[in-house]
Amino acid sequence: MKKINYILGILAAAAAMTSCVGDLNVTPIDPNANTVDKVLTSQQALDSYISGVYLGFATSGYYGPNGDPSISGLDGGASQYIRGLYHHNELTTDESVCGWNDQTIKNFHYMNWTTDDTFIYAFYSRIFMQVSAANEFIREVGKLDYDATIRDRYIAEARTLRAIAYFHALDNFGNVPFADENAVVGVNPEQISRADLFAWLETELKDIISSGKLPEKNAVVAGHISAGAAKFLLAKLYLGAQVYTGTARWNDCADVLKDLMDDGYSLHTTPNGKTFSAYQDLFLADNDKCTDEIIFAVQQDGLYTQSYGVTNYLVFASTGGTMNVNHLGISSGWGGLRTTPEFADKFTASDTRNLLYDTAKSTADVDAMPETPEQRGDSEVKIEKLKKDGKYEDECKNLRDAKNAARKDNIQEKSIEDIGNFKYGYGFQKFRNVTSAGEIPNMVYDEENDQWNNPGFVNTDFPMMRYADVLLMAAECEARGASCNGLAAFNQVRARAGVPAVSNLSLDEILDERARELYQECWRRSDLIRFGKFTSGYNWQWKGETKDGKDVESYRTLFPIPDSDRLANSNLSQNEGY
Amino acid sequence: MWNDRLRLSADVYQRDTRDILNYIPVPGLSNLTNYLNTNIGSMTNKGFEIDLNGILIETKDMSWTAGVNMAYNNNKVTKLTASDENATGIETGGISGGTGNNVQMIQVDYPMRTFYLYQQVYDTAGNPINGVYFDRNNDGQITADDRYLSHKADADYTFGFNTNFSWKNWTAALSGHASVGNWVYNNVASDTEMLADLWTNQFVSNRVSSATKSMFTQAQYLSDYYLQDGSFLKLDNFTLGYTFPKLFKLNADRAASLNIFGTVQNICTFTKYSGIDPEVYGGIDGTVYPRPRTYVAGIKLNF
Repeated sequence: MKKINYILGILAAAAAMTSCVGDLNVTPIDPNANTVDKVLTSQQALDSYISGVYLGFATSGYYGPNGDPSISGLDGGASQYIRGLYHHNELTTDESVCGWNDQTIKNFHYMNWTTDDTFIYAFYSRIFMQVSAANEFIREVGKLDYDATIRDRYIAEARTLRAIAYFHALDNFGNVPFADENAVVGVNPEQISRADLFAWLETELKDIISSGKLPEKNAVVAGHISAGAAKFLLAKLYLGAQVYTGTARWNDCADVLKDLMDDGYSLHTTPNGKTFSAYQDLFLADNDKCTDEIIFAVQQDGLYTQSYGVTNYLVFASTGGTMNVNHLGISSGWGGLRTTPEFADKFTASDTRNLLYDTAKSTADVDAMPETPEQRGDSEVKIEKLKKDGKYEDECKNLRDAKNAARKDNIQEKSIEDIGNFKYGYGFQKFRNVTSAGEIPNMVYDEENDQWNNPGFVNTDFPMMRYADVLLMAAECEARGASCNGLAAFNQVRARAGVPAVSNLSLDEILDERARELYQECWRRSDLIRFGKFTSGYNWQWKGETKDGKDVESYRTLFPIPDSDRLANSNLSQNEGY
Repeated sequence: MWNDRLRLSADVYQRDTRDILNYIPVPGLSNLTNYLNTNIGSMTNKGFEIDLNGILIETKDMSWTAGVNMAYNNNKVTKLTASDENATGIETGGISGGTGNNVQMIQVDYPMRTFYLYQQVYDTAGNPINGVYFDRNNDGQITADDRYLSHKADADYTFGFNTNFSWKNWTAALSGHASVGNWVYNNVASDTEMLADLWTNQFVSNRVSSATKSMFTQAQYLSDYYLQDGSFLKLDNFTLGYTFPKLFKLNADRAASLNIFGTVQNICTFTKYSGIDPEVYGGIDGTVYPRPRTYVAGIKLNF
């Protein structure tokens, strides 16, 4: 015991040497030390630096998908930003369930999450890490003596990225800690009320837009922020104003949307290739080509920007059961995400946006399952080897057995009898790692068997802001009394989907249209809340942890401030109800 | 004392430690991450150690010696700088199973590594009820506030003893040690008892045999059902030997001797703990490599 105390004592002594007090705020005298003023001297350096802020949305950390994640307390992949966004805004709704036994993951759909939920703490931490990264960028780059036009454009990008994170904080957590670039580093931030954060975001976004530092439509560097992204976010802010502040701002929302509709964006209506529809193009491996419609997307690259979150999660976690992985362009599925029958029933027969994996598609895939290695597409080398080892017949038998078992046990069914079993509930095949030409990017060469295998990471970007959403927002503003040509906008979206035009707008129809157009894109929870159908007024399977769904407490329109942060920062009080 | 037949030494100590390091959540927005190694506070250790050695018998043919030592330690956290006075403390003690689950808490006025769990509710037959916990603060719902600080991972008392006995050409030695007041969280059981995972993705998973006792359908990582008294007594080593002093003559004044002995290591453990070994540093039994019982038989020839 004494020995242990000595060891602790030594650790404590070592720790004491790293304690920070004011007199350590000095500039290193080592001429080789990399300080900000020495590093940030070229536009290339600024590009690298701003990439770090963009990366907050795109990966788990700076060291690849399996390296150290930027936040701890949860598996790096599961704590990824967009994956957290999906947990909070899709799993909580009729659009999606997740079948895994990952700790409290099912509580999102059951709507019985608690204040100590690790998934909630992870997403919360992601949001504020993103804000901190942007604050740091704005603070450091703002001090630089550099070409002001270029410097200020980067700063405007960082401010918009920060606004996106704060918007997610506003929408999901409401009353949150707040700090901007002027805050003192290392001091516990104060809590800001939801209404005050709304006001700050409004001022901030208006200033970014009016200052004209950002390019109107297409960003200077592909994948970066343009003024369109700031306008889109401002429109989203006004759209939810009733929920966030108690005062509706439909006319202000309509004004921003009208402005955005004049900026040159358009619906993507002509398919890039022959295999997929124009709507599908937006969710394929080469969706970076859809700059006509996508206003801002979180970038993914199968080789250079890999993560277990973002679209990689959407493609892999949606794939399972009888699905053929070649159709999705990946190596194997994780078998987690499906949808409820309530959502599946929203599509009419002619709707081309219905990319759900239903019983018919599942049966067809089983029918097409290979019964020999040749049918599976194995290389000659591999088949030769199987024959030489005397395993060819066994392999054929395995394939036939698998096919029979799949037909018996795995055909997709609509109703969710059991969340843990992938076959219950239609699957998603919206996001794919296949290009519009039908090719799978970045296939991996398997030298031993002389064949090409599907990759482990996707190329598909996550479209966070789409012009179709702009049109649907316009329809909603119109239906709620503003004037912005909303009916035409609404019918434009419907026309691309192959469904008939409507002659007048109804709010219920707009909510359903948003679901059909934007499913899996992380808007569903805030839509349901805005239409008063999230906690009660509309139920779906397994809401409230009962099969047919039931109402839950109304305070669940906001997530709790996580216990861990309230323990660390006494300035924070809990959201109402928790 | 008594011709050096009995020796006693005793130490009393108090050690204050400052700036203990731990990996803890930091306030959102104050850093570029959410967990950092932080100097979180101070603690004191008070205790005493007694060492007693005695020669019980010493005659021409026979000798018997015995030694016992005992240590008592009382550990208490005295200050936490990373959290405010009204806060409940800092979670620590990550386990395997789920993600980000901690079973211990560092809290002022409590020992380091005090377990912080929900209180399991049992049915009338004494079996734990899946997912039902005691509502300690009586607010009608089970929240993080219903977790409570209970036992600690470190022992109050530790003992060690050894004894040697020889009679004519026979020798025997026995040693062991004991620990009282250390509690162990059985992570092996908590992570492999849930029955929901018994059948996943078309294959059967291994479950520990104690699963039939708890019958938990879902993992109950934070239940104090898995917290058990880890006090133990271990017999570590027993050796029995016989020496043939004059096996055969080498020359006029030297003879070869032969010593035959048998040793058993890790003989047995007396404990109420249900896992494989209650002797776990830190009190979380999850990754302990089972200690083997070793039998050694030997022959020593001296020329």
